Amino acid sequence: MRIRKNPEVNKLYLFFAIVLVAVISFSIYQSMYILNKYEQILYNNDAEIISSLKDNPDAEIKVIKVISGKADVNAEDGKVILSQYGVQQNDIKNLSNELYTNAFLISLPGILAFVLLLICCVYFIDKQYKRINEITAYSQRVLQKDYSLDIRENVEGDISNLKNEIYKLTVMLREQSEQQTEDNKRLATALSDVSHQLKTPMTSLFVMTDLIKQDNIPKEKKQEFMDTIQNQLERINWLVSSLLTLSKLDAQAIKMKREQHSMAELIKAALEPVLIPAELKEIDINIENIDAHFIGDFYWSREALVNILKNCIEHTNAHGKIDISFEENRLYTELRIKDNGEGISKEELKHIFKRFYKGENAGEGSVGIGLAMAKAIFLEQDGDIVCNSKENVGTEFIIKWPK
Amino acid sequence: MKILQVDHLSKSYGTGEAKVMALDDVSFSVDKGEFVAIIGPSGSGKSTLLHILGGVDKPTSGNVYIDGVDIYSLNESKLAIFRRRQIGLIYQFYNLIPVLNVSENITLPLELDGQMTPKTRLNEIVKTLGLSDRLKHLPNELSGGQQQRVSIGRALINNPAIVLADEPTGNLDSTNSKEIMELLKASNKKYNQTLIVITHDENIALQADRIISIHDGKIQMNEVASCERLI
Amino acid sequence: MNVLSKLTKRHLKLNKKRTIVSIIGIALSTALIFAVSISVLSFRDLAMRAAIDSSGNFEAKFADVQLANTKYIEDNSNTKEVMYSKTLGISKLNVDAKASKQYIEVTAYDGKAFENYPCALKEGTLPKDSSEIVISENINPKTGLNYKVGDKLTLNIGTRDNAQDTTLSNVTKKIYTITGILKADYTERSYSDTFSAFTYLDKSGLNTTDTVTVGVTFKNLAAMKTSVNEMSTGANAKNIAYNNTLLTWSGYSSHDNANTFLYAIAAVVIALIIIGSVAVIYNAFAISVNERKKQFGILASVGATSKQIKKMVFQESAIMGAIGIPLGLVIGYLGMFVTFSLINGFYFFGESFNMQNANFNVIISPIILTITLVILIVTILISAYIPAKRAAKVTPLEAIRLTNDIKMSRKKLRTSRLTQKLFGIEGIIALKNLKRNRKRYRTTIFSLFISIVLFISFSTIILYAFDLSDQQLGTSDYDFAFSVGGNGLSEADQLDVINKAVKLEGAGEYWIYRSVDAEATTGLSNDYKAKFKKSASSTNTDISLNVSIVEMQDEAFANYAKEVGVDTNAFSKGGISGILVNKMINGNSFIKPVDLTANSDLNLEIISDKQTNNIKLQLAAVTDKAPVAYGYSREQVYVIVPKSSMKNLLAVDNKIDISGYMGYLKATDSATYAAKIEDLKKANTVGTLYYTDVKAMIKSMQAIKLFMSIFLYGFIVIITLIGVTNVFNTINTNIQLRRKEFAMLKSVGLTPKGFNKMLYYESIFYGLKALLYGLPVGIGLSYLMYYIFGGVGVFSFVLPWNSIIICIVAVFFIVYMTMLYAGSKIKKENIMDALVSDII
Repeated sequence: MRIRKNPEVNKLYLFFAIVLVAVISFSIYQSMYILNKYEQILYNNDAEIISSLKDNPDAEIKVIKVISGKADVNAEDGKVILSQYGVQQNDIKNLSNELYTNAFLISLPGILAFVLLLICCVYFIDKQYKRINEITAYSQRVLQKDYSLDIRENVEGDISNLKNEIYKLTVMLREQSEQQTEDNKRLATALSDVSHQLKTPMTSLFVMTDLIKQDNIPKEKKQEFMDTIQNQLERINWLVSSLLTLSKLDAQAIKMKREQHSMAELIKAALEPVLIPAELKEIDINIENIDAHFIGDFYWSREALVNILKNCIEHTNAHGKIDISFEENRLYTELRIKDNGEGISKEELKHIFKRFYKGENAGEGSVGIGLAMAKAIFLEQDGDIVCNSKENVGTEFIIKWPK
Repeated sequence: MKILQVDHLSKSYGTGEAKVMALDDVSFSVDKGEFVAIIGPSGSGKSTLLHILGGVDKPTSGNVYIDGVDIYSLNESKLAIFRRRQIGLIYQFYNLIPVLNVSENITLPLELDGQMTPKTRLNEIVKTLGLSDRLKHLPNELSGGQQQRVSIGRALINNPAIVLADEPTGNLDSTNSKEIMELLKASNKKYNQTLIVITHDENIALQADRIISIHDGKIQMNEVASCERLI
Repeated sequence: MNVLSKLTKRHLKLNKKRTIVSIIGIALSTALIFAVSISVLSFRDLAMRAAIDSSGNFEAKFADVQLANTKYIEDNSNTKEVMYSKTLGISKLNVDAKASKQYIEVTAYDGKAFENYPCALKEGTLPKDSSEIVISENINPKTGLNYKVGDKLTLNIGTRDNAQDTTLSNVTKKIYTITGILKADYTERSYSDTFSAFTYLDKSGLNTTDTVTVGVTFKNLAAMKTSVNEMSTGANAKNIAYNNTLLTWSGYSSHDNANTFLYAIAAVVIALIIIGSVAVIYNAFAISVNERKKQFGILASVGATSKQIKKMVFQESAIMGAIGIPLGLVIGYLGMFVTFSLINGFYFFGESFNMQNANFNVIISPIILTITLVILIVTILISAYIPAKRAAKVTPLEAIRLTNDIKMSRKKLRTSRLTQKLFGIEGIIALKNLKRNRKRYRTTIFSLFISIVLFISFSTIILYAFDLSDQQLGTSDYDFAFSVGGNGLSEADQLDVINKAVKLEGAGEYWIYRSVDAEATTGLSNDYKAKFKKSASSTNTDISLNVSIVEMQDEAFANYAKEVGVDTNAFSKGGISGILVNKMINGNSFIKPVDLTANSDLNLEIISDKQTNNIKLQLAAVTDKAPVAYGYSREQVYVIVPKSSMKNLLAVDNKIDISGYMGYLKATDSATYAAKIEDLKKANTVGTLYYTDVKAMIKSMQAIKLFMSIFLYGFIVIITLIGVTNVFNTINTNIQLRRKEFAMLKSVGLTPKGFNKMLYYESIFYGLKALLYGLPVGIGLSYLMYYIFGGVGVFSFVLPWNSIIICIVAVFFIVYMTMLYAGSKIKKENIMDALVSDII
């Protein structure tokens, strides 16, 4: 019963009931009044008839019997007699005007009640529609991006629930709008960063090609310049593809698969491209020997992991150590990568996952989107990556895939 | 934006010499989507603080604004309804209704509103909590960890402005505790759900975005959690 | 469906036992109220039928109304039926001059009168016109005239001015044909000198100035007084009589007191029941709410408003009421039906009411049904109101904090060292629990209290009432009493009849007495003088004692003298001597009014029409033993004299008034004797033989006692049952709520035996408290009864030991049993489960 939840409807019902009772009472009172008058008239009539029979005791008894309802008479016979005298029903006098007025008045309460109820209903409906209008007006303000209003009222009722839900929508819109602005800002920043990033290698390329065009350059120098050009091109390539990936991730155009894979396999795949640099620095990589699985996208997770591992190796000194461990439970799978490298300062820790952020100790070719991309990839799998670090002690990355 | 604003909150018991200040001029604020841990030794007033934030105990002086509403300016009825829609409470001792099954316990706030629960929302929450195969069970057929998950579900179903948890893992073993914290954090991230957890356990507090510590009814520290873990 | 309704329903289902017990409580209360109202109505119905049977189906009678004026009565708008009668006159019968009934009185009834006035035929048909007549069945046996149906009866009907006249005036001869023989029980007055006969009243044969008696029944009894006034004025009828026997039962007696009395009794009883019911029902709800305090707290914390929570409690009460009330109505109806069937089966009723269809019918009036329902619904609502408010007040905080805060000061919970020594730690815990939960136990102790009080006072009422009836019946050391009455009967005539009576088949020992009244002014004791001064009727200052000189027949006197220890030879043939029974009732005890010893003289004054005689009566003995059939009086003492002394006394003054002979007889075969003496009575032509069958009277008195006991005890049993449901509910729930506590005690090392001891002590303390309040009040009330009844009979105040003992035993039994039952379930429970679990 939806109605019971809404206290204003209950109030309406109550009012209906009160009016009904009032009307009935009044009608009863009125009817009683009229009946009373009618009784008086009948009584009067009977008295007149009886007094005319004063000298006729037999007739008197007979008439009394009729009046007390104890006689066995047939009204029809009497009517015949009356008509012989030309007396019809509406010839019976004595119905005073008062009675006629009263009879009319009986219908008055009905009319009054109807009017009252009509007013009531109109008022009630009007009120409810006003509330609906409130909501409409509110919605319009929200459409105009005015998110400051609070339309909630803490009462029972369906309309109150509606207001509550609409408020939630408002909040959602507001957040979306804020998010949008932020996104736009980010996009602008990203674009400017991109152009800035591209500019540097571009300039270098221009210079190199210009230099190469010149005739009097020794062969070794030309080779050097070629290498540099190649490097920069690789850099641009890397930049472009990373940026592309990032924007796809941003646009959520990449569908992350949710499949179960072996952790061991993932790590093996991720370590592959970094094994050599690691060996070169004689960094010891330990992998915990546990059978674990994660649910997510293998390809992209590997991409991300490669970035992380690269980062770790870069910032760990020679003869350093990297420990890889994982944990799996019902809710999630966790992967920990710990190195004993130079660590990251507390200040920097806040920013490392931000785009184009290059740390103080960043390497040459570093653009600063590796970690940002990794984070985006993990977030897209509904997971996350966090980082703990202490300067000159080490850094730990903790990655989580939910089940 | 500030989802919670506490201004000069005080709570005292007794009078004269026997007067005890459970909370003494506490002020702080919480942003939407933050995960705040309130930490302190027992008797420090953190439970009292949580109860006042939850609209369940009246302060002696001061104001509490939740999503812009001064909750103690509402009358009892309105406060109850506000609590129903805007605040989710999770207790140490689960406090489920023993005669209602899991599904009914979770949807209780919505039912009180006379609303139908959108199936998708219920299913989503139930799946996240890992209770999909226990929907028709009664609380006494569930383990402690499962019961606490049901109360988390009950706290989240209505998308409240803030979720307050009073020692949510106090009654659970370490595995279950971890699970519960993960669930809370997950919902905090996923739904941008503001979460305030009272605890005496440092490990739990460190998982929060911000730590407020209370001692003898006063705030001692209110700062962002550092990631300084013992490596 | 609303989740809160779901909660309520589920909670009821889960606590099946408690729900059922509460519903039973509600049902019993309903049943009781319903049953009481049915009893009242049925009894009233029976009484009305009995009244109609005995005095006729009319409400008012107008005598001496002129025929011409009867129309004002007959045609009044409030008149339902009218019946006409006219006493035509009496006719002398040809019988023995000594016969007590000399005349036939002929009354004319019209058709309606025959229908409504008591007039039952033994054989034949009622007269259809004024030439036919029915005559009393007593005429033939008494007069030997042997009239039969179909015979012609010639009567000379006339009138006389008063009963003493022997000549009749306006005698007219009329010849009737006898069409039937009447059963004369109600139509003849045994003391009048006329037999009854009825003929048909033909109004057409009367003149308009002739008078008739008009009996009326009214359509609307409430307007009876007004209508009677109208009729009386219009018909000029001043001689009005009311059939109060009937009217009393309709509540419209012309005596306002009777009405008020009836309504008052009904109101008091119903008020008692309502108090008991409210206690039970309130308790049931209070318990339920208390159990769910935590739940209400949780709901409040999740955001349920107080209105929603209150609705839950009211819903629960509505459900229980919806089941309990109809159930109660059915139980009440069935209960009364069975009770009435049983009572009707005993038939003894017919004898005491002297009616054909003397059985109880179960009468239900829609008004009563509606009133019962309304009373109960209001009771339930009221009982649910306070618990509902309490439920809504539970703050979420109380749900969060699991402990029931003991809101008591340490002082109140202190127990004495003595308790410890006597009862050990179990006793201490039991006592502290009692102190802590004072409020919770209050309603239960209250209902136990009510049951105790009711039980003791009702038992006392029954005790005294029956004792009183025994007293009033006399010492019943005889089976039959008889005497002979009638005008102009001599001693010899009387003795003649009495001697016949004592020789009938089945007769045993007998005593024949007659007495002379005298006064003593000397030799009075101080006790008597004090009593005399106190009594209000002493306007003159001369202290005198009424003495009744009683003559016994010789054989019996000899036996009596022997018993008293006096030789009959001590009674000289020439003097006046006798045995003084020196014992008199004063208030609630006895006094010795005369201060004389044997062989002294008692000075007596006997007043006759002629003169005042002073007689010296020699006291051959002074005893306190009264002869057979004589008890002790408040107003006089007896001196028993032999025939010779009485003869000598009467010789002093021949105008001394002596009473008629009274005979008392012990029957060897009561049934045979009863039949024989009835025959003798019918056949007797010398005066009228009156007799009392004491055994029959006792039997009907027993019947009434039994009947009353059934009702009273039945009432008590049910009220007690209601109390028991209360007790069961409260104790059971309280124990369930303390599961955690018990588990903790067990875990700390309380043995099952110790656990039993704890419960045992708790029930002792508990029962003691109830008794502590209940017994004094009950005893106080029974003292009140003693005081009230003391004015009517002689009792010594005796504590109703039986009922007290039964009470004590019952209370402890009930409480202990309940605790055992509740405790047994907990004993078996696993400690850890209890410590960890929540109460469902």
